[in-house]
Amino acid sequence: MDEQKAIQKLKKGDISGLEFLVQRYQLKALRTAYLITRDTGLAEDVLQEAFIRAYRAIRNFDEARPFEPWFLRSVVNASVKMVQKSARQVEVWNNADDEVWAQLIAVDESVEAQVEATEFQRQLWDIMQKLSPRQRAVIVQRYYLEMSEKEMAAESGVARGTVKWLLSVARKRMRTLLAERSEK
Amino acid sequence: MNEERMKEALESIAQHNVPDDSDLWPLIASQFERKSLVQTLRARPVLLALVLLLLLALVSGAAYAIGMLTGFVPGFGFATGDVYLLETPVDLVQNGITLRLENAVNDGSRLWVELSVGNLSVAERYSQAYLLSPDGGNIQAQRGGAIMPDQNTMRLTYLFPALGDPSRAVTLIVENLGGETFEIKFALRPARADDILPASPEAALPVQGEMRDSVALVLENVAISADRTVLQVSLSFEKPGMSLAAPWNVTMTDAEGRVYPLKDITPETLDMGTTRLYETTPLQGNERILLSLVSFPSEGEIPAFMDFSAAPVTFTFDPGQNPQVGQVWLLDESMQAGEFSLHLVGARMTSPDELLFEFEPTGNVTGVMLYSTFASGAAGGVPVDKNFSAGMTFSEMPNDPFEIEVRSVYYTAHGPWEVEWQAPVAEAVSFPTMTPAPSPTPLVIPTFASRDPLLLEVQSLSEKFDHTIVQGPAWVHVISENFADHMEPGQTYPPPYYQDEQWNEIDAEGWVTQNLTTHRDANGNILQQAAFIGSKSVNFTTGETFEISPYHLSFDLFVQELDFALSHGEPVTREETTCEDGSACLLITISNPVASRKVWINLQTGQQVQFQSFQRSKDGTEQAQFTQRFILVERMQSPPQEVLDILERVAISAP
Repeated sequence: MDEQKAIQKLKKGDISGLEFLVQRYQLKALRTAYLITRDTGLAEDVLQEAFIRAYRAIRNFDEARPFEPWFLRSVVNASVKMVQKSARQVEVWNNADDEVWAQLIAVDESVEAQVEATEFQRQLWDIMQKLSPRQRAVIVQRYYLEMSEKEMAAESGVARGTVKWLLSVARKRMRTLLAERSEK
Repeated sequence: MNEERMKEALESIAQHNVPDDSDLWPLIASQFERKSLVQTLRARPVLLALVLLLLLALVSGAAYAIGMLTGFVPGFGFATGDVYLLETPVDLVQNGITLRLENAVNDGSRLWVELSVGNLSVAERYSQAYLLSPDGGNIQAQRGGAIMPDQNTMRLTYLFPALGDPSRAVTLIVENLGGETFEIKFALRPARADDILPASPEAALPVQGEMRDSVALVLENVAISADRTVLQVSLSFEKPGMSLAAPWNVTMTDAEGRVYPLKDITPETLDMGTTRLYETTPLQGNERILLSLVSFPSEGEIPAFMDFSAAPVTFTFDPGQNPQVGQVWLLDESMQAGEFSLHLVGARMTSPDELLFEFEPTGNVTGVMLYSTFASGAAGGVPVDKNFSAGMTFSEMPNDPFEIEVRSVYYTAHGPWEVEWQAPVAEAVSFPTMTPAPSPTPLVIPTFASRDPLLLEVQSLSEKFDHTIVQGPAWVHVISENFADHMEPGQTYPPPYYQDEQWNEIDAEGWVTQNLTTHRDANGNILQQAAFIGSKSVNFTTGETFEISPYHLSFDLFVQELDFALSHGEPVTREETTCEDGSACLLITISNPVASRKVWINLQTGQQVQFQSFQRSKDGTEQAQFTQRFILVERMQSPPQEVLDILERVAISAP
């Protein structure tokens, strides 16, 4: 069975189509949800609901289109919403964007200085904690799911302005930091 | 940013916390099974039935046991033999979960119990139930069902074999209900005469219609009271292994041309695949009744299948040592499965794990289901041009010849299937009056989350149009054209085009008191027709009948949808354009990965004149999925006599 067949089956109410899609996409989707929610339990909840929503919406899905981007988009959006409404996540995002991004850029630069991978992961994860769910989602889309800025902007889950703003802040901070270092 | 390093780091973090062997399918499947069951089961009139039983208990002075009486017990169906009912409901609370045994009926063949459960979380697993038998053993439930009328309540029903001695106390064990095991002790009492609506003794039932293509319609039981008629209808198959392969329903008319709305009240105690229980308006007596099996959308035809798994016909297929995706095998093999001649004409390897076998239609065969011990799955009956295909999936594609079984054959059975019956004179049976038709409730004005100026603009336009048209008392005549731009393989309904015509009678406040809706094809032939009167909707074509709440006529089909889109960040665009009739229009587009849609609104009249759902591909092109275009909306004092005549044919008793 291929993806198109699975979707055709699902459209006819055959659940084996859903099983195929779950088996094919659950790992990437679960990891995506985890990176945004930072909680495996929440990530599993997100994914269960996302697959059931996909089942309900599949009748309108154009099977000529790939399922994965559509589905991962819904997982990203649901993950953000799940974190926002979850009492387990108390998080306030203020205007410290520049500071957080500066840390992120600094960590990235230190990679170039051959900092050990595990240390990089730890620092990256620490910094990810400081991002709002929506900003984390942007990072996950851009660097984990490897979506282009254009693709991200084209998606309805994250507003075009938000994506552009976040990425432009990052680039600006990177230039500033590089400039400061070269002066030193 | 070093994108590769970022990707690797994020992958590593995710991998550490979400291992490769994570598998959510069992969880999703169980959730899905539960949701599916809830969706599949209709909301049956359980509450009404219970109210009736309690009412009977209060109003009746009669309290004598009845023996060997066949009759209708609300919620249970037709009971035979000695009938016992629940003496008193039983309430239990464990770990915050509330359970109430609401109903129990034991007749000569089965025991049915109904429970209401509260405070269960959605993630709870299915429960299991059994009875403790007097000898200390367990009697497992033969069948169970679950309905969730709301988020916090679940209604469970179980069917057991009949109790040997229903006068003794019974212990029901329900395991794993929110992690709890409940032990419910209850007693039954003999049914009283007024608990049961007796089956009509003069009815000369069952009566079977003519057998066509090995299928016949049977009227099994009828119970008539002063306020309703209950009918049990079943399908009879001439050959073992036969079933219908589509949902089925019946319509009921009489010799005078009256249409009786049949409300499906089939309880869990019956097999819905072969038996239905309907409730309709009371018969006055001596009516010549005609029950017809609905075959929609093809008149006189219904999909059926024959199961041959007990004695399957087999053929051998040799994929060769190195089968390739795209490889085609031309075959010419004829075989006989029972009365059906099959002709296999080819096979194709469509993916590394799937083979598709193509059959040429012979006679009335429309599909087959295949099976092999080498295969991991199968699907059948997908039309391929003039032929049909049956697929098989494999975890490992065989390299040697292997045997394939034809397990079932799908075919088209040809009717019509009808059964006629002469109603006896109705006896004056005392039975509680049905709930009266609900009176119109005050019109609820929806509140909107978005404060977007576009929402206010569209809202203002739609109100303008409604104020022009929805002025009663009057009749409002509406015609729209509907285009399905994207048809699924094998889709027979809705067709690529149909016209929807509606006649709405509205009162002074704009409430719809009567409606006649007709769908016609491009040649003007009626595809289906339905009427709504008071609180009942009856589809003359499919036989479906619903109780529906009174509704207020409005031509606004979009403001709530727009509000949702705007308040959930879905991209919405507004542009001024020219509609097909040359008038200035507002075109609003909501983009959504699943269901993008457009609406055209006439800027002068405020009418929402056209709706379209579409999908946008990555290159930006749009593919329309479905379009509805209004071509006429007019208000008048009365409709054509023909419309009134049709509405008058619907036999609905006065509230």
